[in-house]
Amino acid sequence: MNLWAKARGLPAIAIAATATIVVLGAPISDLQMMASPQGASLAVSCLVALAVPIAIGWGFSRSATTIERVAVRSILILDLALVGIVAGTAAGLAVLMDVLGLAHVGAIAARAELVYTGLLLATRSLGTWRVAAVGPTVYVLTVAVVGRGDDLAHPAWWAWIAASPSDIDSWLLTALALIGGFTLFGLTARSQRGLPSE
Amino acid sequence: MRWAQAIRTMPALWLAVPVVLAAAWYATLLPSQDGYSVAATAQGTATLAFIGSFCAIAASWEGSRLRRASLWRGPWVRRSATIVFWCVAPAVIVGLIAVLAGVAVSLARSGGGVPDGRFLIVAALGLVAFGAIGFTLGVSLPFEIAGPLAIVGPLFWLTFTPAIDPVWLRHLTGMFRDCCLPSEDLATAPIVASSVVDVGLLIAAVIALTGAARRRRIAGVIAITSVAGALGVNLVAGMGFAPTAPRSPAQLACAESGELTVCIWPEHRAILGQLVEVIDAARPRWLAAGIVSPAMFTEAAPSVAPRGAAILSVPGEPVENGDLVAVVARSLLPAFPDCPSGATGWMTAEYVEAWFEHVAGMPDAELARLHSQPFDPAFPPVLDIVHSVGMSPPAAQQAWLSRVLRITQACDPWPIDDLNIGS
Repeated sequence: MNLWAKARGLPAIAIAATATIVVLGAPISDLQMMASPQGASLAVSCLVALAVPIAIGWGFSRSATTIERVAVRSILILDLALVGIVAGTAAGLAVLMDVLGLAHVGAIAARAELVYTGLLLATRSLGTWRVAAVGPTVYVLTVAVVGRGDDLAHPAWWAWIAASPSDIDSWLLTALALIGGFTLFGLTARSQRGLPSE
Repeated sequence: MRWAQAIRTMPALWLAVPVVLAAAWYATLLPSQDGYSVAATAQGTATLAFIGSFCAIAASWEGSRLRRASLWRGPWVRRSATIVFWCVAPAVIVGLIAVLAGVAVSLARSGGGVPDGRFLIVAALGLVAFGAIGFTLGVSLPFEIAGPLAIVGPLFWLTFTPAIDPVWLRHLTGMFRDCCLPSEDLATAPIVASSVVDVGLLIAAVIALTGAARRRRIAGVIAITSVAGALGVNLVAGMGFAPTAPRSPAQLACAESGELTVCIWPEHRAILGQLVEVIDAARPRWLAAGIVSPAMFTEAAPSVAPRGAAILSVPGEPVENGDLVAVVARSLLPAFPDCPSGATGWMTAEYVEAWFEHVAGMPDAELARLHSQPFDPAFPPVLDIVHSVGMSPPAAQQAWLSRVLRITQACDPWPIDDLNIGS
């Protein structure tokens, strides 16, 4: 268990989650912008929210795949639990800070972080941990470049991380992305258990 | 490195076609420009928003390959600079081709013209800087961290900086999508400032790649980026949101008719004759009605236009005579007032414009099309006022015009009744 935690870079992941919360509470996440006050603060929160998925991707890329495939303990369950707890705790704290008025983009960051976590797991299912964090990052890039909808407050439907935090549909899509990511990752990892030759 | 090998192993080349197509497609989403090749080129370089990230992550991947295989800083025959060049150059070349594709589409949509080389040079310099930074990240950090950072860094720089106050900070990015109206040209200061910043970033990347002690490298990177940033800021501080300077009036195409001179930008040359006809017909009517109408109409920026000239703003798309009358009538309006918190009187400019159009002989149907509703329902209908002024004696018309022209410059509340002819 200790070895697993060490291999996963648990301290680094915890630091990333803590840093995310600290930055969200810092004045920089609530910059005074000229043309697009909502857009700029939103951009900060969506970028800050990438820290946890990137840290998870880095930590998990350090796994000893061959040994873990034949481990007696179910590493998959531990991995899924770790991702769920870290992403959930960071998102929960961000929402709490928003509710308490300590971070007015907290809910947006929480939603983005949950979406990125789902995309991270989905990308890992299609490739390796090495490139897993590129998935959510490319998604952010795409949202920033072509995600604009009718206006700033109404992004394209697939760019829901940029929607208003009160948009219920965006939270439903977030839940779908998260569940989809966990499911894909779980199925892929299960199918890869055992030695490659078995 | 042979090209066949590069094509087999480098993601920058695998992704070349999709990135170029994406840039061309993205350029179709941007508003088309007015046949002005400087503005169209500027618009086309907006593709840097994602091409910068592409260059950085492609170079970062190459750097990470050297890092993983422990090949970086080995005792190789080739110099490190040569190795870096062959790792970064394909990403930069593909990025530049993609920017050119975006510019070509933007130019084609705006009616053609030659791309403005200044934007392309600044874009190329930016891509080189992004590529070098991406490579540095790749050899310095695990790709799991370097890859996302390589995407987010340029994205943050190119799309977030323009949203920050002070507005002139955006001129440091080298993405000049706010350039240019037909009367504007790209200013020199933003070109120099963004180039200085890009060169600073490039030198910082080179310092980070040297074999010096880590502390010295970090100090060098901080020093050079600070100096480059300070120089860049010094060059553009105080500018507006657009990286522009007035366009040279020497480029104007002019036509004369009697004492009248009309000058417009070459991209609007097709309507020059039509414009002269419209002004020729309207000007005597305006002069007879006591409306000040100069003998010189120009599209040049007010700061470089001849003193007293009327400043035209001609639309790019084909226009009918009625619309041209409106364009000319608008050129006779006073300048927008410089009010600290909103110009309360400027909404009356529409009444003055409609009066000028009415005097120029614009039919009521056309007037109704252009001025169907006042800005605010509390204000009287534009046509009612114009008709009542039209039916008044010349002295009353003059008094009304002087009063309303004064109101257009008001920064404070004023009585709406002053719009009526009898007030």
